Amino acid sequence: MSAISLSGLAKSYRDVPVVKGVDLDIAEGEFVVLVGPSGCGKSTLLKMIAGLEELSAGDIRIAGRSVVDLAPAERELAMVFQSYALYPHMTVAGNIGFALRIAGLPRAEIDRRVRAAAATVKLEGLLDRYPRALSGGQRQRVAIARALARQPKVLLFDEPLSNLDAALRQETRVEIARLHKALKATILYVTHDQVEAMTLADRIVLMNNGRIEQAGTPLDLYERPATLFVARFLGTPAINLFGAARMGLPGAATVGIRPEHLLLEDATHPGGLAARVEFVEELGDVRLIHLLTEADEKIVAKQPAGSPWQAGQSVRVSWRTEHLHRFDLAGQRLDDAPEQRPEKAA
Amino acid sequence: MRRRFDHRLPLAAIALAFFALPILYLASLSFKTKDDVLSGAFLPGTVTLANWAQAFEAAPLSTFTVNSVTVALLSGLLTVLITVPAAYAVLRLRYGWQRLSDVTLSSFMAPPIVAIIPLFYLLKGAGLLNTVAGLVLVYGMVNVPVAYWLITPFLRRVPVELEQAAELDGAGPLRRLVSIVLPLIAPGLAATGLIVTILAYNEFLFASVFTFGNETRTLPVGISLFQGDRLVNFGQMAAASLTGIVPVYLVALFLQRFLVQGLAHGGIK
Repeated sequence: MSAISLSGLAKSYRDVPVVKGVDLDIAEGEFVVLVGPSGCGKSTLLKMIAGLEELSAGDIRIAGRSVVDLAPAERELAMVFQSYALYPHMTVAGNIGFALRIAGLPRAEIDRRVRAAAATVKLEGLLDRYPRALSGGQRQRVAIARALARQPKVLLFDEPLSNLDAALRQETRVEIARLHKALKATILYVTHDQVEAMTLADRIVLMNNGRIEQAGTPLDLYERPATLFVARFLGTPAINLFGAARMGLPGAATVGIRPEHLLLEDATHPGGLAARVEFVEELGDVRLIHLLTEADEKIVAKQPAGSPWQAGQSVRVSWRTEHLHRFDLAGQRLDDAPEQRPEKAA
Repeated sequence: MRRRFDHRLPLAAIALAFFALPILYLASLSFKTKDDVLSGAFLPGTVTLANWAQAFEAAPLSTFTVNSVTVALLSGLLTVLITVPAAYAVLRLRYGWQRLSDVTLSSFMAPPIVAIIPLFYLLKGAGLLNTVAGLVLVYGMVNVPVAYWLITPFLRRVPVELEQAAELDGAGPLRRLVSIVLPLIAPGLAATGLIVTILAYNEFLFASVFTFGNETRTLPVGISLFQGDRLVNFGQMAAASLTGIVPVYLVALFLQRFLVQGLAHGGIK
């Protein structure tokens, strides 16, 4: 049985559709990341599941039971908000135990569960502090502990790391991954950060314009993007796109190739596209070579550290056909070419 | 080390003089003899305590004061008790007509005198004419628009996510209001309560029409009684006025930190 099952989920605000018929099944213990650009409807979808937004159409089942007519608290899920949403006038213990007090649990049980939740996210020493006396990372951990204390069937995360600085974001990301492994909780996690999506997810659900564009494992989406949108959205730097006609590939409208799959050769080398190195970004472990082709296309190649390319240099750019992603006029992926010989394009 | 002269001091002194002068003049007046009052000098020629003694003899000032304080506190409480749940229901629970917030103050803009006749008959019908309870009821109601207008920004500033989190935690609307919203808008609540209390304390028109016995009169009405038919007893009136000012000044003095904080910051960061 699925932990969460969404069917035909839709939401409109005054006739403006925001979520347009979403079907999705999430298995028990699965970590699913909803990712997509701002305004794609992913946060709205999460709030609909939580019961904080009303549905225009569709059904939500949690552990097999329809929850559409249930109040948020009765859906057996907990949510971690982007802004943490900690109660500023309550201590850490007060925040974590608020739901338990409302549920009327005995004091000893509340105390035990608050301590257990705090220990899970390493907050033991901070139970008497107020949120204002905590750092951003600590506040985020309180928000997670508050969600865990309720022992929900499903944990929802709404862009939980977006208020943290880069270093803390990575640290907390690892902690969330560890937590998921330890608790085997079903998690639905919303983010617009593709790195978070790629590193945390068992399965990524990429949304665009209120619809699911593609769902699959992170590598599935990266290596076989179903649409041009998915290909563009995942990957840093973004995929390089060319008109297919110019590349001599009939049937396709657009061809894409990831920066790490571009091969650079000396200008004297035969074959490939002629291009000039515009500038080089040194990232330490890799170098990003920004190129301008003869047809004025800007492309980026990811090269290992120590590669010899310098700004102003003329080069030839080539690739293996197996690394090409071909899309039709509507932006849909075309099946891979029957022949995928490891040869360089002419 | 010599402290440098702060150039803001003279400005502060001028502002202080501007606001304090009427009060100081009132104080001086209360210690003047009748002849001195007519001379128009700022300081009394002969200092006398007679006005103070006579003021308390001529009218039951202490009863007036107790009435005023009772009416102000109870009506302030009533206003807040009506306004806070109402504003919360309209703004947060989206009950009722959503444009209400924009037009609330309009009822306060109408001259109060237009309400006198209907209110008079309503109070008479309810048997509350010439009672402290009647005044509490009237002030408690007429100050609702001001309180609504004052409390609205505080309510709006409570992050929606906090209430959503509380909703997920199982808190119903009343629990959310009491456990989450009220503690967060406490400074605004205090400021609002204080302002409507002071408004009620200072009100004259309704009190002068709806009360007509010394046992129910409030201080502003009591002070106005020192004005005789031919002669205005300025010295006694000044003494009575100062007596009336004291409670409000004490409240403002001790709670001004609350008042300024509440009105300036909105309570939530």
